[in-house]
Amino acid sequence: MNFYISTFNNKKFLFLVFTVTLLMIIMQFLFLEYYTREKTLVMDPQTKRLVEKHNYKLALLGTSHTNYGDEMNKIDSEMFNYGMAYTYPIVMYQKMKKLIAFNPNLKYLLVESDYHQFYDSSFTESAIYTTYAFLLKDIKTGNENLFYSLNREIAPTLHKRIFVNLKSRIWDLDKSKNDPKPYEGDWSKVSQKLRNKYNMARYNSFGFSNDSEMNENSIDYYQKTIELAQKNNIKVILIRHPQTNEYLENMYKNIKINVDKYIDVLSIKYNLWDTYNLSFDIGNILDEKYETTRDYSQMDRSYNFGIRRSY
Amino acid sequence: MRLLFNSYEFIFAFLPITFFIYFYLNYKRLTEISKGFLVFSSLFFYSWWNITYLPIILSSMLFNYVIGNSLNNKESRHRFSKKSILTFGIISNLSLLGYFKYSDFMIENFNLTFSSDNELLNLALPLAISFFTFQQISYLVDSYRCETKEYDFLNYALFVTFFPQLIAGPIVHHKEMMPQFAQIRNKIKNYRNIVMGLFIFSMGLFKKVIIADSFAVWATNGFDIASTLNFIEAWATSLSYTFQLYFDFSGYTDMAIGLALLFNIKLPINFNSPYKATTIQDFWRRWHMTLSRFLRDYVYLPLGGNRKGEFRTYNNLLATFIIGGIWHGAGWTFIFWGFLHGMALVIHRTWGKLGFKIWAWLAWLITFNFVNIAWVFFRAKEWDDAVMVLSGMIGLNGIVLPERLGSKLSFLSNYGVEFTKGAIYAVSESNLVIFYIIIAFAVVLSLNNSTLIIKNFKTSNKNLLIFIVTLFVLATHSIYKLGENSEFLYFNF
Repeated sequence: MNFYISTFNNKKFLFLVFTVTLLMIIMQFLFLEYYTREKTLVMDPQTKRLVEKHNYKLALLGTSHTNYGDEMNKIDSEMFNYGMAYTYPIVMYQKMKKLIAFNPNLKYLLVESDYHQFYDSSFTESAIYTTYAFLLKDIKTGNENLFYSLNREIAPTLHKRIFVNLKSRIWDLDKSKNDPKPYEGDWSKVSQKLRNKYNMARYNSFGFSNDSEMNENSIDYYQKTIELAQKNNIKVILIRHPQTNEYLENMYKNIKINVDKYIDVLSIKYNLWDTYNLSFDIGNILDEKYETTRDYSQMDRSYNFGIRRSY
Repeated sequence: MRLLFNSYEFIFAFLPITFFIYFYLNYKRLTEISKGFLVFSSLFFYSWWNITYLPIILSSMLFNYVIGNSLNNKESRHRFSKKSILTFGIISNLSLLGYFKYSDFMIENFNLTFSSDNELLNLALPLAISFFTFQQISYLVDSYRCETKEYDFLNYALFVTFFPQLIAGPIVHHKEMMPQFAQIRNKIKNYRNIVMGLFIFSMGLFKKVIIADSFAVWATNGFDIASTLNFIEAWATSLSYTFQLYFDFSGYTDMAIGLALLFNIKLPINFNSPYKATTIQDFWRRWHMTLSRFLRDYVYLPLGGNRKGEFRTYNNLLATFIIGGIWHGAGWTFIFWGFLHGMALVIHRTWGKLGFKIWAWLAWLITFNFVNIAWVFFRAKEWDDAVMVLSGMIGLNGIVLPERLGSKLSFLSNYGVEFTKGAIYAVSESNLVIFYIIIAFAVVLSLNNSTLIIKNFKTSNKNLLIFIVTLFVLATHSIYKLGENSEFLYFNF
């Protein structure tokens, strides 16, 4: 067939359109399936570290709040920070199982009790399943799919992940671009109006509102995590991390009351150690220089960059 | 749930099944049955959302068919004059529309005026009621003018319910539809129409899901979530909606035109690059052209048009556009939007009489900005939302520019301009919205519109490539947005 002729017969044109498009879609699908299995379902670096070394006495469980927030305290040299973005109760429970399996000496567990652990985004956030698909694949989430790349939870972020992955590979090749960048941002210069705006955006991202209700699935997995720890003679401490004044002071009343009440109920029910509550402004303890807008736009937690500057 | 053009159920089930059965019946020479099947499919498509509204469209059709026939019948003698029958027909149609669409608006205003506390009816607006009501009113008026033929009920039902145009237009005229339904050669599969139909349908789908739905997020952030907007945020918000509305509605229209072409039916064009307009009159010759045609033929001209002196002409223009505003929605912001456009046309007419001329680029700039500002009222749910966006657009909430421009434009600090990161944060966390707006300007000002694309369509290599890329991007996007589909804006009007 001469591909350079200017017009096609209509039937042939349709045939070509659908055949070529279908082939391209199939190729893309095969690539996505390969990528999903190779990249998304691999073990995350923390779990790998856990599997390799198993003599920690103290472990931390929680989201990025835990991952960045608790590094500051350097509580113990034998501390294992298993906190990472999207480690909500359902993921915590899976991580708890790994902790017990690979770390028989574990004595103390600090479990994050920040507000966002108990609301809708803590169970429906699609990224939970993407990041921790390898941990969650053996449990029923109600979103199973024969093909991983078509999983309702994985699909929406898949192309973005591939793009980021490819970008980072290209970026790494150009070593000159890895030079440290000058610090541009300055927390103290951010106007109160903008800080309030950032704060509101964080509430929105967690789906907080005046009539938000605690997510029953999250509560269920949160309690399961505590029960599993206690069954294995691990002392559990609930912990809340440093956040900004704006985030704490403007928090919706119903959320504040509900979570605090729930923590009290848990403390009594499971005879937990006193809650370690770090409710004060991060801005007071961290270096005020930030690199990007993102660094100071997330009012509910510190950033690893800020922490490094402080210590 | 509505059976939307951009849903999997529609694309992979409803459309192919309807298409194949319709042409199979025609192939077997069962033309009346095939027509009946198309009416049945269209009503099924309509009822998918809510079957309780099916009796409304059916009784409306039956009523208008009977009234239309009695108006059209030159020989029969009635107890009532034709004018009374027409008046009765129009009032009945408008009452139906008024009851569902404007009851709560009237109750609210009554309560506000008389400090009363009457309960709202909270009626759900039957799908497409604004469109099929206008379409049938035009049929009645033409029957009164003896411009219609005696159609049988099946043809009439197909004219009203034909699914590609049923929900949100184009508002078709019986003269352009009925003969097409009757033509024998339209009963045979036509591969050229299938190619063009699928091509234009894909383009429309692309406009809707890739472009309009992206702008929708930013417009919603600005209008519905933000409490204040700085200068750039306010402009990004208004422009996002301006482009969202265009790509959403013209995307829908392209899909409707494409779908109709699969059945060998040519729908009238509804958009002709409206944002290229250099006057407001020009804009209304390019935007929602079938609505403009309806308003001209069935409101403006019957009111007297421009035949009764300047003052009456201005009044007629204002009245026509205020009616156009009310048609779009029951709210003062819609009425004000219509009033603004009416006033703009009055000013344009006066300007023309004075004989002044301005450069084309300046004329475009004024027209586009007027349209953009007027859309703010069209989109705002409350007056306060419109005021918030407009006050941001004129810089009342401060002018904040991205920090990286600070070194180059530092002199602006003396005039109160701030430089900070997150200058557009209320609309979008990234600057993607700015990039999209620039691209959208380039697209609407430089590329050919769908009408021209269809007119000059060839099964060439270039179109083959465009078609494949469009379908591939749509397929990829559908994986990305698995299971989600958003409604078309004009479904609400």
